[in-house]
Amino acid sequence: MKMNKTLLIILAFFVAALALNFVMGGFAFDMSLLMYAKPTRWQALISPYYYAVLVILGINIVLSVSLALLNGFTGLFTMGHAGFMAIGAYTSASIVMFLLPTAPFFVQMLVGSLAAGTIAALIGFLIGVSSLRLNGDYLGMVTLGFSEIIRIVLLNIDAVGGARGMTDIPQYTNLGSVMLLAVIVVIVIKRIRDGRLGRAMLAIKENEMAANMMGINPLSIKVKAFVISSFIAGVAGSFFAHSEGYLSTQTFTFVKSFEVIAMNVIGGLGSLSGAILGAGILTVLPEALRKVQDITGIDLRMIIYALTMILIMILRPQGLMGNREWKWLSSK
Amino acid sequence: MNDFIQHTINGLALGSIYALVALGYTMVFGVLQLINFAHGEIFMIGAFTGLYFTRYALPAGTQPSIGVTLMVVVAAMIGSAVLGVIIEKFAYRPLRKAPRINILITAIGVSLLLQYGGQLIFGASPQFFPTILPRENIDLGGDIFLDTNQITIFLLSFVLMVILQYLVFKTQFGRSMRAISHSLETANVIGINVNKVIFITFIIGSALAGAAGVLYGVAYPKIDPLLGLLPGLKAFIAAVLGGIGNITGAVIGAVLLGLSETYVAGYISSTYRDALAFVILILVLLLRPGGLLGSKKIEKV
Repeated sequence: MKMNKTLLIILAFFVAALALNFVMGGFAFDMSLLMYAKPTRWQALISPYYYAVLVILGINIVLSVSLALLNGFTGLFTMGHAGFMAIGAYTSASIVMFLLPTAPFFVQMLVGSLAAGTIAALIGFLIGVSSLRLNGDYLGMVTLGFSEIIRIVLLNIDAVGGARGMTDIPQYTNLGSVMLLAVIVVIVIKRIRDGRLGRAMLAIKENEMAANMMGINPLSIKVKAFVISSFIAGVAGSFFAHSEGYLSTQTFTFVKSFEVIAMNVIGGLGSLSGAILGAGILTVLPEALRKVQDITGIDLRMIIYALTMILIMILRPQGLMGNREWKWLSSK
Repeated sequence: MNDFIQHTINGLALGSIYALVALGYTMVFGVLQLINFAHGEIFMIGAFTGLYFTRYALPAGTQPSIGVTLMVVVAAMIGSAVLGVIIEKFAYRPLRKAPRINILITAIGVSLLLQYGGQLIFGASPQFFPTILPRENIDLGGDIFLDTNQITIFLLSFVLMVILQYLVFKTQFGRSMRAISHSLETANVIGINVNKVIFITFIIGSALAGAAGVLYGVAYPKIDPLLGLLPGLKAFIAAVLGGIGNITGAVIGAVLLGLSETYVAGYISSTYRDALAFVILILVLLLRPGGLLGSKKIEKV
């Protein structure tokens, strides 16, 4: 199976990411790092605020690009990305806090995020297999339902904090590792898109029945898309958990899923560059609008954010990038 | 057994409120094939219109009565209908020919806008819905109670549904609406003013949601700008359960959902009540995507 090769690439890059994380923190590798303090080297260069925004940007790019694989390339409209992210975040946090509380941080991070991805992929596989007979809006609704159920089940598990949320999660996500993860994910998704699997996905998006006639097994391709996408979303969730240090199920409502969909659509559905651009805009815009909020004293951010979504949909429905790609991401 | 009857009464009351909201979802889906995510917020605006109408438009010291309730309900229906029409005109109409995912995103955007705009205008903290109905518990014997709120909910939703039934099945407008839900293009070709019918559909659907908002405020008198979110989603699930696009189905689905939610909350655990709706959604879509009363569609090449 070609899948194995892809997964191997993901794994290899992943180990590289961790190594880099280790090195970047490693210059300042003192006792405080062993005590799970956030690696400090990057923060010396930029203010903590921009640092935090850039970390969120990286995570959002990973989420947006992984959703593009499903929504944009395979044409499967799903509304449950927050669910996979939640599984990843909670899995990783639980493993690090309950199973490996004393291991060195890079072991925790490696095991935590790989387990996060794997469990998310497993759930993604189950959801994919059970719901792929559905098309269009209906698939969207079912994935939305699954994601809400995941959230409510997590809310009812007392070991992970239940309604109180999970606190004191070791914060070892740093800017270097997040950005590297983002780059790796973009490269992997680009390679998938340009390869055999990606072309099969595109064929299914254009016309499932015709693709079937050409000898493509739509179900198998769709399940693969689901598994890869949920794996990456799970890893993103893991990075998210260890950057905030605090998890609440309220973060992973369907509003979060919509946010990721909006990134895709604003950038241009079916365009990898668009997914990245959309993630950038929807991360930076609310932050830029924070200043407006300071002036007016009212929380206008979400309102302007929602208005932007509506206006882009009405004025430029194909998204900012349309079907185009930036040069370095185009398939030629 | 008494418990069971009490849960059934409560479930039916909840189901009636869901039904009024679900009708709007199903009607809009029927004509536009659009999941109107902002419908839950139209419901919320209904509740707030009722609140402000009672607070400012009625003379101070007005005693709660059936007449007052009716006035508030009508005011909320008008408020919601106006909002529904504005949304249709400015957000959905420009996108009539756009891909469905774009319209869906717009609907989500409108929904977010109303939630946070609502927080801006009404304040984020919950407000108490005024008592507009003399509340009295009627003892049916054996610890079973039926309160006047529930009776009003039953009667009012029943009357509204009868009116709706008449509108959809006995009038020219209803005929046009059903034609459009069959095929928008064909309806257009045979001379039906599609935009006008969609406009009226939004008025009716939103007005029903507005009435539901007031009834919800009467039954659960603590309202905030985010209150439309969950009931909105659940009403939508009820519409899917009954077969989306099908008006009778929406009512049946809503009553079933209201009942099963109350039973789960009463017999199992109230924390899983919200998950139940989604479990139902998944089961219905996997086993019978057309819903209970829906038809099975076959994709042709």
